[in-house]
Amino acid sequence: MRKNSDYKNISYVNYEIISMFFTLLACVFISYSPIRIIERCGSASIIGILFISLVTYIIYYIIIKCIFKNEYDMFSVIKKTYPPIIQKIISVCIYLFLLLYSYLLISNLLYNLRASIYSKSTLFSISIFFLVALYLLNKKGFNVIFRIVGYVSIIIVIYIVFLFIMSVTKIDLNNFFPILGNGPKDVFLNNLSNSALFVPLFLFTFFGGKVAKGKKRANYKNFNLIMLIFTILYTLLIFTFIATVPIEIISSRYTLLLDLSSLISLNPQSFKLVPIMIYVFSLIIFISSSFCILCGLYNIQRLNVVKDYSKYVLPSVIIMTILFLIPIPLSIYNIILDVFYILSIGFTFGFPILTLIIYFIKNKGRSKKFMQDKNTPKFIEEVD
Amino acid sequence: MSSKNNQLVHKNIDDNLNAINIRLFSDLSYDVIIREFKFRYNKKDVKAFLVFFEGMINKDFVNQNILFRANSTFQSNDNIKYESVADFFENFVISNYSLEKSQNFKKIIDKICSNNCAIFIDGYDQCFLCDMAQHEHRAVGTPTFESSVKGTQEAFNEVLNTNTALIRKYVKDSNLIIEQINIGKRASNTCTVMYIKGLTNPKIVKKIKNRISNIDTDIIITTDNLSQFIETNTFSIIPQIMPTEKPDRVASFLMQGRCVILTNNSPIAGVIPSTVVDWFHSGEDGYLRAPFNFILKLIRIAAILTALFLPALYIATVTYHIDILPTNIAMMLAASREAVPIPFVIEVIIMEIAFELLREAEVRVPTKVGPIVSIVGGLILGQLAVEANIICSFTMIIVGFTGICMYALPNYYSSYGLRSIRYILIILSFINGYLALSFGVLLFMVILSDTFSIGTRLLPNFYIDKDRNIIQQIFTEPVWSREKRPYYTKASDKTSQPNISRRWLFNEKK
Amino acid sequence: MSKNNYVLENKKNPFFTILKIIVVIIVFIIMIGLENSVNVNNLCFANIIGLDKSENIPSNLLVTFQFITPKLESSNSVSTDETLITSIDANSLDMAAHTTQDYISSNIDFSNADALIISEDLAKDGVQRYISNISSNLRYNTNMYIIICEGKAQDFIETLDKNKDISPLTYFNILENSEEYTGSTKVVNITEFSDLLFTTYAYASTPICKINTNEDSKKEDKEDKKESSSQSSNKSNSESSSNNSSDSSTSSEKSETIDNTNSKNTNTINQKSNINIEVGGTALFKDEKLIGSLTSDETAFHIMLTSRLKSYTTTLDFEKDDANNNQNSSANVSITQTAKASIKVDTKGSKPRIDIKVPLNIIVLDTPAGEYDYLDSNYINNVKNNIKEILDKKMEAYFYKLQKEYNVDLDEFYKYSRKNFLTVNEYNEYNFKEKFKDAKINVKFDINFNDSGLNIEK
Repeated sequence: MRKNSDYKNISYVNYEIISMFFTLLACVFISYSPIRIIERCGSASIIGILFISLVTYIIYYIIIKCIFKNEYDMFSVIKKTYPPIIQKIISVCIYLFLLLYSYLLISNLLYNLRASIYSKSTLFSISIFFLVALYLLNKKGFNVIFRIVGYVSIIIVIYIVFLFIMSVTKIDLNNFFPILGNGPKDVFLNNLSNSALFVPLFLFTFFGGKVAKGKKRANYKNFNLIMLIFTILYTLLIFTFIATVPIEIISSRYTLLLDLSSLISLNPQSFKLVPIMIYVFSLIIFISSSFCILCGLYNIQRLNVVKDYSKYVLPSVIIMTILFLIPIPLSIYNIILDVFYILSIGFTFGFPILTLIIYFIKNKGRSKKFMQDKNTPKFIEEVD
Repeated sequence: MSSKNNQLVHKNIDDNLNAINIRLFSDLSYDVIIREFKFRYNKKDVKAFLVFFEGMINKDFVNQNILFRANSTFQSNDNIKYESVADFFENFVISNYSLEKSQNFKKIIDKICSNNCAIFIDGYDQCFLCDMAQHEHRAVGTPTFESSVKGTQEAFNEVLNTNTALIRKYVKDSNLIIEQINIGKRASNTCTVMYIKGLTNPKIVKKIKNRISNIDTDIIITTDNLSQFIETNTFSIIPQIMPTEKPDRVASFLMQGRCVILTNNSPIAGVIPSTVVDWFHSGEDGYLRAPFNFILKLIRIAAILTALFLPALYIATVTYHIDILPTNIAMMLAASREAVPIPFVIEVIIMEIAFELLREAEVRVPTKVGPIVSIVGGLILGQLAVEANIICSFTMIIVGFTGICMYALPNYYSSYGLRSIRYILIILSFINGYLALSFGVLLFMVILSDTFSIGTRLLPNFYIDKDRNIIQQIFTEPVWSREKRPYYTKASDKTSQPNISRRWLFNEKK
Repeated sequence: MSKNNYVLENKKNPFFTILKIIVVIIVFIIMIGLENSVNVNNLCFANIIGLDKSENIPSNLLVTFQFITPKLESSNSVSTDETLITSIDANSLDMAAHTTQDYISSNIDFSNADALIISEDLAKDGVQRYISNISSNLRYNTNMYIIICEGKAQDFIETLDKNKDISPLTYFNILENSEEYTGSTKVVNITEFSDLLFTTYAYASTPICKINTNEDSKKEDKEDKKESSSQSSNKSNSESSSNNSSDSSTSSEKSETIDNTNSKNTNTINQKSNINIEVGGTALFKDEKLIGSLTSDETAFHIMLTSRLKSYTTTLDFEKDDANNNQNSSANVSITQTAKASIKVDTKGSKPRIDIKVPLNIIVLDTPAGEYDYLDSNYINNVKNNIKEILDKKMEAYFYKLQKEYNVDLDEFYKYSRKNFLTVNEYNEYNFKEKFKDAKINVKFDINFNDSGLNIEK
């Protein structure tokens, strides 16, 4: 009844947006990221992760405060800083970047699946599920995704806590020594490149001041909670890894979760828990990848490249299909990952800081504090 | 025909009689009764006739309230002056509680068809309509699909007035408004929309009334028909308007801020909005004590999860991932293939279809012993099938268990949708194992969250607040701590009880 | 809401609906992934895998499989009697697994395999080449036990198979039982083993098994075989353990006594019922090769230091005490460990210093040899002191074996030494691996004698 692509119709609750971004960030558990961190930091990985999270938290707190105090969301900032042509170029760049990010999310899981269970299928025949899910969820719009994610995000929390509990008997705290691992330079300086896993925080700036009636603007609180929960869970996961598997083994494996799931079974004749990982992560990646593409489409509508993004859902899915049809060997895939790491640091940190600097220079003295009552479209309680 | 419908009542009684004879096909329909009579006014005899359908009118009322009074005008010698014949007839002869006048033949015919008696008098260009309904109907009986163990045992019957009276008996609130809307071109039926003013969200009521009054059809027989006209997504697997047949349930729904629709000739009321949470609630949950409520809800959650996912999980494991099973079970499954030649999927589908046929048969069996016989018969048939080596015993257990779990759900009407989803999940899991099964789960959730029951989506928000989350809705709290109404009804008045609703805690002397 | 929402949609082009239906059907067909499905109709399970050195080609393996085809019995129960043993010459386990399909008509499921048995000879030449791909391949069971067997693995599996009274699924329950009740093995699964092989400072170990057979049909044969079995058991013991401790001789004595009793009983002993696995000792690996072994008693000490020893009953022989009639005295004790051993490694000097504290709970059962007087408290005190001395000496002997003879840091002291360094570079410079053999180890037993039964002190 209501148009899905009308941006005034996006409605969500605080819990839902926290769980959406937490789910997006949690997709990194199944990817190369834990292995990179452990390779870099050694037994000081927990210190490394806490350090990265802290640095990202500080930088993004400043960014978010600057954006949300003065404007509705990131798009308004972009509209006021750059001339229209550059706005359109930026929006197309963001759209392509998000397509690539979504592709990498899905293909991480697919390589895992193909290596372990679906060894006789081609990559395309497994990816068709993700493509259909992408199309469905993008057609329905943001509201459906926000409803669903409230139920799904609990599963990943339960899974990680379950892994931790099952491996309690095999924990060996001595694996965490020496404390500073590979050296303070490695742990603190060189580790900063691993903060590319915080790309979803850039998407957080797209969602502005929609709050329920009569509540204060909860953006800052949501951000705090997202970072807190994600850091706790990631720390717990890495704690379980390092405590049960010797560190030198980790860099030789492709993915850790498979090994961890197999460590947990008791004797050779009991249940083996490997496929539960598929179930949990496939649900999460269905939702995260479609949310990323939807954000990309939303952004090309907000920055006036197109008028209505719902016509461009099918072309995006076709682009993803073509990407999956191209067979990419694993060595080239690693190169793509490296390039993506650098790109993502640019997008998450470089781009917002640059934009804000130019914004403040342009609007010096003319900026007023953002008046919530006048400019925000009010939260429409859905009565459909 | 249209010219006839627009025609107004004539002054001449013969013309009126003619018009009625033509419109009601009195020479063909045997139950059209036209009684001509006279009465005396101002020392003159005035002709009149009345029309009604036999069987729908209380004949004693006709005899006493009209004919006897009309006859008695011949005997009285009062010279009370009235303004006109019509005035005299209205105030002296007719002594019925309900009286209406109309000039439009269409309205008169409609009223005659709905339990009214029409009286025409000579020289007056309007017709009198008296409501004297009395037709044979079923007494207030016990519920058929919402039985409860120790709760109330009243259920609606087919008469609208009885049903609304039952509801008013439970909700003695003057703010309860029962609005009436007539639907149907050829044969109109009365439909009511019930809500509590100041409590129900006015937007929802407005939308429902808008949808109902804009229906263009010949006839609407029951509430289920009406529900299909109003629903947003008619092709969806899950129904969006929840039927109920107990007045105390309707009362509790009204107090939660929902809207209820009722149609004449239908023992079922439709509740709007309804969500997934209603699958877990039965009629007497509100009356149970807290600990038992909690365990019961846990059992129902387990029942719905097994009923939906167990066969699909079984097939996905056995077809693709048999290496996760413990050695004993894997060996047993492999050994069973020696006897049974059919693949696992086909076994499960055959047994599911057999159970469906048994369920259908149970509905048509006339006795009340039907359900028990069919379940036991099904299980015995299954046992024989195992011995004849058509299916293996493991499959038998799984299919039987899911069948029982489906029955454990309190709402029968939702089981149709859930069963079809189960088949979809079985096919998907046969196609590609766990990945396709999780895709099916996603599909299911998209279906749930994309269907609109007027006012809300079927899948409510998981968590808004400490007081407004789905866990708190499913696991009902004790009666004295239900302070807020369910958040998905979007009621205007959010709280139903203050923080401390048992004031005796402070009053009592220790 | 705009007006567009209420306008009826235009008549759809039928071409587009047909196109949509075709796309849906194509997507559905692509989704089908039945090539990954398991054909359950003709499935047999690989229960044990054995690796040997091939006799024909020196660089090849002789892989032995025991397959089980489960059959349905009349009462709907499953019988695992039908077993099949095949041996294949191949250059790796994967090749052998694929070539067995030429000999067997059913599909094989390796994911429920119970154990991987490697013969001693093969293990002495290096194990890493075979183990690395098994532990990371999900096709094989990542939890299977890994065992070193004395003699050939093929013989081991074939003789095991002859015993039809034991279900093949329960052959290796003995491993868990022995770890829990006698402390004579430390059970390891293949993932842990391969992780330890690839870690630079760690040393891997596996349990040692052998077949205990008493196949006697005639008395003469019995005697011959008795001698030969005791001889062979002696020989194998001497091969595997570097010092013939009294324990191995007692085990051979035990087997001899069993032979005697069995021979006395009947002539027609069922061949099958005497075949059993005997478990005892640990095999030591250094640089992926088998270098030596620990006896079952020494394994108990190893478990004491690394995890918790749940129950361990043994005879402790005291030294000859000239004051007491020149007789051998000994005591039977039952030892349990109450908490994990606390280990501290001090790396300040040039030689590391290791301080260990082990809390034990000891029950003195009886003293079988020599004179005894359980009511005399002096006697009991004497016995207790002797026990403490003997335990200290045994621990010293154990460390002597590990440090001086094999130079193997089996108890993972390197992990405790890492606490003293801040970064991995400093730790690598210190090079604990080289310094372990010069380390000074102090073990303190915190013994609590559980007084019960015979020796209640007054």
